[in-house]
Amino acid sequence: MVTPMAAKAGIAAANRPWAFRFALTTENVYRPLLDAWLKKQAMPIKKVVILMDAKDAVSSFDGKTVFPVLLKEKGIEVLDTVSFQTGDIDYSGQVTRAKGRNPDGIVVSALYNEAAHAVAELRKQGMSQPIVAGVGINDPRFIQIGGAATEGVMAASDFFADNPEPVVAAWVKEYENRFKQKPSNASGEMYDTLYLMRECIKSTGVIGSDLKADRVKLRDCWANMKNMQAPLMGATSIDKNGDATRVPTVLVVKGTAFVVAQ
Amino acid sequence: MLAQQLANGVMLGSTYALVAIGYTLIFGVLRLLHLAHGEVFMVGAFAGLQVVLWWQFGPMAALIGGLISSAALGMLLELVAFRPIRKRGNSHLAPIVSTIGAGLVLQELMTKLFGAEQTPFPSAISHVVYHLGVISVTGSQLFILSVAIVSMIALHLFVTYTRYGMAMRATSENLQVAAVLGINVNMVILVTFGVASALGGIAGVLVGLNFNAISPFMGVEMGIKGMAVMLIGGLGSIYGAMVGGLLLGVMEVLSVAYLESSLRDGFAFGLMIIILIFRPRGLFQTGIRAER
Repeated sequence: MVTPMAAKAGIAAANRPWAFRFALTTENVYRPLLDAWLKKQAMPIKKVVILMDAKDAVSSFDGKTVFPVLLKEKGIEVLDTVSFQTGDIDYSGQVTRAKGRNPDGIVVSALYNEAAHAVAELRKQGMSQPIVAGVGINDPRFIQIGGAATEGVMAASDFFADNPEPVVAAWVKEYENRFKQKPSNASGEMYDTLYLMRECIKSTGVIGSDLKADRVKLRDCWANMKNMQAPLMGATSIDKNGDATRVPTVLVVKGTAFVVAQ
Repeated sequence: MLAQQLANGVMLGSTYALVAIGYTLIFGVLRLLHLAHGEVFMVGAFAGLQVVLWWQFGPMAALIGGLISSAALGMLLELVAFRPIRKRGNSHLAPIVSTIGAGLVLQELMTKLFGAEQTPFPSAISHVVYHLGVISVTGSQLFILSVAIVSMIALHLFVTYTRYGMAMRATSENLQVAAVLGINVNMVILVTFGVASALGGIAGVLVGLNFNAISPFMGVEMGIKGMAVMLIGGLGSIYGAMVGGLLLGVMEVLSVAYLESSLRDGFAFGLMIIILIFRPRGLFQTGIRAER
């Protein structure tokens, strides 16, 4: 069983040996993201406030566990973790509280809708600190909803629809022709997962004749995957937990779109 | 930061107050819990959104559009969903169930038209920030506060000094006697629905402008909070609704700021429960007890 994009921690590890996760665990996404974010700043970031969606499983896990551990690794102090709920419309209380802590930077761990509102409120209340965000915001609607306030927010994504690389660009164009909308992270993950599954089927010679043996063959193909080229996201390996390892793309919001951060 | 948090609370509370006033007006006149009032608020927000999208007009036009659509919808609901049931019999529950049904119909209708997710409201007001001492408020927040205050003052003047206002107060005191005295009670009820819904529509557009997020289900939470405010302030008391709304807004923001965001609703309804236990007629004691 392969999940293309579930992000909840431990999902593959808890279901060995038959479960695999194609998406990167959030820890593997955030480590390079934070490195890039910190490197980009003119003033060093020593203290941050985390704003997280306490109701959403992935965002709250990232906000409570993943981000704090990674930030501690880099010697950054988390001054406060302020929470809101999915579907909230009023973020003024949370942002005023964050403002009172006077951080150097802000980490937002939420889905695109709530994150857009939170970022808009942050800028509205006059906080100009750099913002880095979790995987929940990887959707063009984050920028549509948040507007100009989202400028400069950094995030990281496995799949990036505007990746100038020829293979990705061609695929995106074909997708837009067929479905009249831009592909999201989810679409890219699903495509690559099916592609790799097909590669496994071809390479192990499975034809559906012996169900039991075929299952084992496919499982082993996934378990032993090393640097298999996924067309949209690059070389993928599966680690001992059943999770994929890959290099994600670090992005920044510029104007009305995400672009690859330099 | 406390001053800023209080300002945040007052902003939020003024929208609660507007919704609660609508509830309390209808309850005062008809002894009816208008459980579709939250949906009327929601429809007002969407109407305001459409005005801004179609005709590229500013926030005032959105307000007027929301106000008119909500008032029209409220009066339509009265004619279609409540009057026939009121005429039928003495059941206290049937009208309330009818309002629930009307609310569901409106939710589904708006979901069909606009989708179930939150829709962003195009920000038509500049987000210029004004610094008043230690507090910073944006242009849009000041706009919201002033509209809310003007609406409440206008309502107060209407209810106190106009003939229809007096007719409304008479009807809310005793419907039968008012009818005997020659007041066209059905017309008064229709106007009450119109005024209450108009206020709800204004609140809807203000929420859209300030929080930039409207969805077909925003009426549910706002409706419940509005009812809680009505109970806190006193059933049928307009001034109770105003004060109760502000109080609730401030309490919610303070609980989020100093405690946990998940306790937000807990505080709102906890306050309602405390008031019901210790002061069942609400802060501004009216003659109507909650048990009726």
